[in-house]
Amino acid sequence: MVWGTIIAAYLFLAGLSAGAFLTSSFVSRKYPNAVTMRVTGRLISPVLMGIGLLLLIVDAEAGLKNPLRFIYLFTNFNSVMTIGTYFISIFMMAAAYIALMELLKKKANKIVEYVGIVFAVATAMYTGFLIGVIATVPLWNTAILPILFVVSALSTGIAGTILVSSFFNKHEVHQVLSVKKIHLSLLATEAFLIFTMFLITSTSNEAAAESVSSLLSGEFSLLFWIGLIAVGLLLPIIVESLELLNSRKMEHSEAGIQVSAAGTHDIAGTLVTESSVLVGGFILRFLLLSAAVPIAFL
Amino acid sequence: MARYGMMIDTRKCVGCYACRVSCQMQNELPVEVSFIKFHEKETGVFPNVKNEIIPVQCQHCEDAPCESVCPTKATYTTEDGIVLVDAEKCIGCKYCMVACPYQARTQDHLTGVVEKCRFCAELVADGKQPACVTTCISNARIFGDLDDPNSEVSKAIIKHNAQPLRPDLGKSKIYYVR
Amino acid sequence: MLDSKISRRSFIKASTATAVLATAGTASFNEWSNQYVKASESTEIKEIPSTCNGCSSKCGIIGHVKNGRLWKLSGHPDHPYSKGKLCARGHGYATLVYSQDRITEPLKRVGEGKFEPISWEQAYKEIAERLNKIIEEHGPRAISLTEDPRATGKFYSPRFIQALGSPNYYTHHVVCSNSRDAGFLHTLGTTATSADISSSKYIMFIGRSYGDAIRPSSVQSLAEAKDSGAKIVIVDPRLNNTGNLATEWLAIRPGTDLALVLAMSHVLVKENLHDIEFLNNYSIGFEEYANELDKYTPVWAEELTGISADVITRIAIDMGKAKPKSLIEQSWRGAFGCNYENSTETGRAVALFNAMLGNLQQKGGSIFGGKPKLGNLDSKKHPNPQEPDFKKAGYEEFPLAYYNNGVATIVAKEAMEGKMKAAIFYHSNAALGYGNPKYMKEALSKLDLVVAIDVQMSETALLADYILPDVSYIERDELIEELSGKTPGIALRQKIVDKVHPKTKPIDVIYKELAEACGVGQYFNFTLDELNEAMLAPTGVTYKELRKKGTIMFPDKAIELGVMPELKTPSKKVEFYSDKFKEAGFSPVVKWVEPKVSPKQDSFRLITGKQAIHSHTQTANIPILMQITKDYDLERIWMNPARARELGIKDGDLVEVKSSEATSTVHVKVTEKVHPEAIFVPSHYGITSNYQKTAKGVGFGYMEHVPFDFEAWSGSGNIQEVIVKVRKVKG
Ligand SMILES: Nc1nc2c(c(=O)[nH]1)N[C@H]1C(S)=C(S)[C@@H](COP(=O)(O)OP(=O)(O)OC[C@H]3O[C@@H](n4cnc5c(=O)[nH]c(N)nc54)[C@H](O)[C@@H]3O)O[C@H]1N2
Ligand SMILES: Nc1nc2c(c(=O)[nH]1)N[C@H]1C(S)=C(S)[C@@H](COP(=O)(O)OP(=O)(O)OC[C@H]3O[C@@H](n4cnc5c(=O)[nH]c(N)nc54)[C@H](O)[C@@H]3O)O[C@H]1N2
Ligand code: SF4
Ligand code: SF4
Ligand code: SF4
Ligand code: SF4
Ligand code: SF4
Ligand SMILES: [Mo]
Repeated sequence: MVWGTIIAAYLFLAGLSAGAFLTSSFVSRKYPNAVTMRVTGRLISPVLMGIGLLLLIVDAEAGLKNPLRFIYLFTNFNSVMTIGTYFISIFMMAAAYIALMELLKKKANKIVEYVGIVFAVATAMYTGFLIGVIATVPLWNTAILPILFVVSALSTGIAGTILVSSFFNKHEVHQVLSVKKIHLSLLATEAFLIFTMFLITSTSNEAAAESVSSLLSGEFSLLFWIGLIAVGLLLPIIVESLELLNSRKMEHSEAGIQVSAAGTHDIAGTLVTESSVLVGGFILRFLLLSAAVPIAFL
Repeated sequence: MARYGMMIDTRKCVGCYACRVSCQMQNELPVEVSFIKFHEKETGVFPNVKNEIIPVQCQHCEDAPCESVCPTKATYTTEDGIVLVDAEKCIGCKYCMVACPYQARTQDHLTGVVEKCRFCAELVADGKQPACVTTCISNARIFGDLDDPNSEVSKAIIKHNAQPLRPDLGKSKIYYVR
Repeated sequence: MLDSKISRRSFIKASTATAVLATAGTASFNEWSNQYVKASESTEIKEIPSTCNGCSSKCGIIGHVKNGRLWKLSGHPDHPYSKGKLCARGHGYATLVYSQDRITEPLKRVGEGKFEPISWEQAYKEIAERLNKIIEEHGPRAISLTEDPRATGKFYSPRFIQALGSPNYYTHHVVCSNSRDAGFLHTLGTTATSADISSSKYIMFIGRSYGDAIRPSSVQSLAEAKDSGAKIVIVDPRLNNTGNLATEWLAIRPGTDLALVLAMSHVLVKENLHDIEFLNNYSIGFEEYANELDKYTPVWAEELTGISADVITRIAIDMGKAKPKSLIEQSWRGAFGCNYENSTETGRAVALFNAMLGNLQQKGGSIFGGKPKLGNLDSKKHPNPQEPDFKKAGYEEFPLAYYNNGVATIVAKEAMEGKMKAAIFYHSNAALGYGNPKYMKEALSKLDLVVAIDVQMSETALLADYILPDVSYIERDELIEELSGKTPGIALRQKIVDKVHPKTKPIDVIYKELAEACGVGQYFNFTLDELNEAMLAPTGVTYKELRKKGTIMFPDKAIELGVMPELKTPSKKVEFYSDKFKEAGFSPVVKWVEPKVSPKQDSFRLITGKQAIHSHTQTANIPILMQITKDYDLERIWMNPARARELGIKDGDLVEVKSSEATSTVHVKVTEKVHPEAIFVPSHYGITSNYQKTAKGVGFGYMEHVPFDFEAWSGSGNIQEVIVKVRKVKG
């Protein structure tokens, strides 16, 4: 495979960064009191994007040796990578500005925030389109892939934000119930999208079928079933569902909320679920890159 | 303006790698970097076996996928239809490698630049033949102007009904006899 | 020399559009293109014609030198072997000149595998003292010199050993073509004919692969023959890379080619398709042979060869009908050069089959080439050493072997017996390539003196007491090479770049100086240039002109096809019955001979052959060539899938190969392209010299499994009389 772990990590971090930004924007509107999560999301977002970009630069060996060449990245408007470079640049500037405002405890410009939201979505989509437009790899070359990447970006963004926040404010992360609901539906959608994508591509041609079978039953099956499906999707879906079931009961008694929010063993649960979502998010991208079989030209 | 192309007769190719090595010398490539890759296809059961050797290098596609994805415009097409990489612009992102349907690109890890067959542009500009064509010990390679119906290559393509590897993937400029 | 300046304008602006950025220490395209642009107007490309040393073909090359450094090579358009093209080795072997692993100064052995640099003076002095002492104590018969004959060596080496009073000059043919040479020599009076491939209508190759054991012009002419519709049949236990050009592959049981040729000859006679008129005019003993042939029916051969009687009959008939434009190519090493106990007889049978087709000196047939007429030194000014009054070692045992080449491995045998005391190896890796390396090592260590003249630390050099560093072929002038063929010609190897390592010396200088130290300098009282001038004298070509052109052909001296020359056999005719063979104690007519050993149900015969990218052991350490082996796992042995299945072996598995002599581990290529009875081993791997960093440890050494042996007729190495068992080690 041409693109390996580094690019998988870059795609993952870019999605995560965009997702975290969107999560914090959502939280800031829906739960004005959940300050920890808002601040966390806004701070980690540009940092993660920055790390992602560093990885990209490291992987681009010629650019690494001659950094000035990265200027040329902005020149080809036919290239998804050029377009993505614009998206990321704008998103990065907005996210960095907002993080700075957060640090300075100043009010951020609303327009910049809207720009950030728009380009966060664009960045998440870009990570999917980057490989989705590659006709040579049928596994990637589907309309579902960018959607899958956006869904995964949001889900990892939520997970990342909650995970980091939980170190600072255990109570808060249990009060953002609609975030949790959204998260659960995202995870379910993700699982659905993955299998729909496999179903469609594996019947479309040989290379894709080969990719799919390497994931389902071949070289990568262990990582796929245990890493992505069991750990990355099922585990968080189950834990998250149980938690939501619990909280539904608890909503009726005021004491219940108190208990839940204070429960320390639940925090352990949160740590596990959110970490596993993150792990799953990375594995998803790693697998998609690794199992890419180009069309046979002979 | 020419539109340079090549015909490779796989029924003549003996898989001798002379083209590969002469190309490396011509282009002063590190030993690990090669523009020509060899694919072998064995069919049948002993003793009724057929073996096909297919040398593959950049097919100099028209509307080349590698060119459209290249974010830096390092990959470009000359007026003569030769797809080239400007080594001074390439950042080594490998997007072109991912996009190339023929896996014809390779990264030089010394410079980080992603490279591929150049149709020996500098020799051709001098009116000479590419190194791999000159040296091909079985005359399996013919190079010339595809737009000129009287060129040796055009005539040979018609004579042998040579076809691109995957005509359905777009117009490429290397035609194969198989 | 053809100097040419390339104008800046002609260089594509491609990679130079932007600023000049130098990349550190790499020979990359970018770097040179940058330097190229910097130096733009002044960059000078010199083109110097010379000859390749990548293999025995010694094709014409043109060295392209950029600012004093060898850049690339191209094939000399006039040279009959290159015809403008070079093989992969031809291009890649030239990088030897800049190899990190060359020998750069004279070395003296100070312990097992340990060497110490010494001066040339000391080396000459000590070698001369030891040689003279051995001659004094044991006579000149106890010294020997072995080489791979190249232009300069062919003249200087036998002269050197003769100057010391010994006839013991040997070549690598003992593991190359000794059997074929003997078979042809006593039948046609020449060790090899050549083949007029491009005009032939029906060509059979028996263990000869133009596509693997390459000479560029041969492949070109075969491609031409194919284009003009010739039938091309490959007889080989494996589908070699000439397969693409062939119309048919006969997957013969290894070692049974003699049966095939005998049966085809049988059919020719039976169908009355032999050229009776030709045989009447130009041969002796055909009747005896025809009688003998009677019993070699296609059905008989089918049993032995595994090729159906129908196919044998069909092909023989078709060849008979296509005569004289049909032939069995004379072959080289593959099937009957040096492989089996029946190889000399196979060589004879092949030569005789061609004679039966009446194709000798016919268009599309077998050709006796013409030689250029070259001059010699004035023997009054430059006395020739006296010819010794005894024959070279090995002659008694193997009188049928081509005397000029001798039986080189006799040196090892006599070393074991204490009869041989000194061996000089020039341009030869005898210790690894000629015979079982364990045996060779033991034999060489019994000698009082071993000298190796090489360019790199070969396994032979590692066993030497003194190692003398030759300059590489890119850095030296050599003797004029005669080119014989339909059109005779001459070629010159000359210096393409200056000497890289100041303490290396060319072979003519080494011989001259060593001869002086030995006290026989009077036989080398001339320079290489003087000798070349003398050789050129009768041709009318000047030395300057030859230097400029590199290769000069003499079309006006081309041989006339259709005119049968007088043969150099005792009867001056084709000998179907050979008194020479009878005198030597063999059957005067060809008879079926069994190979010495045969595989059983659970074992294989080891067979070998060339790969396009390597030459014997000499190219294994060339990175640009070895990288191809690594990229495509070319060092693997070949095994038929049916046998692999039985043994639970899958493609790519690591297996153990075990013979009477050795055990090796190696990866397997499972392929339908090989006979179930054979394991095919590419011939160029298994380097054990620690000094060859690129080569060491890749693949396994074929010869390690070959019992040290002599074929009874020609003394050749019987290198495929080897049975092995294979066992899976790791999946
Ligand atoms: N690439 C390359 N080319 C070379 C050389 C080199 O080292 N490398 N060396 C040069 C020299 S010195 C020589 S002698 C020539 C040799 O030239 P060839 O004789 O053509 O070369 P080989 O590859 O040794 O053998 C040819 C074929 O014989 C087949 N063979 C093995 N056993 C049998 C058998 O029992 N019966 C039959 N019918 N076929 C059999 C092998 O599978 C192989 O494909 O090549 C010259 N050219
Ligand atoms: N397994 C196996 N063994 C084989 C064969 C096979 O097919 N398979 N083929 C056999 C055949 S056909 C042949 S002809 C023999 C060949 O056997 P050799 O003639 O011994 O050929 P190489 O093994 O290449 O060794 C040549 C030696 O010459 C040295 N040399 C190269 N260039 C120069 C130079 O310019 N000057 C000097 N002084 N030395 C130089 C090299 O470094 C090397 O040590 O091998 C035989 N052995
Ligand atoms: S073959 Fe590949 S590298 Fe060459 S032009 Fe087409 S897409 Fe580009
Ligand atoms: S690796 Fe270089 S040539 Fe390829 S897409 Fe990236 S910048 Fe363009
Ligand atoms: S055309 Fe030139 S650059 Fe391309 S493969 Fe042939 S020799 Fe190499
Ligand atoms: S040089 Fe010609 S015959 Fe040899 S591998 Fe290349 S294309 Fe095939
Ligand atoms: S066949 Fe190849 S290695 Fe041998 S002399 Fe010719 S170019 Fe050199
Ligand atoms: Mo040989």
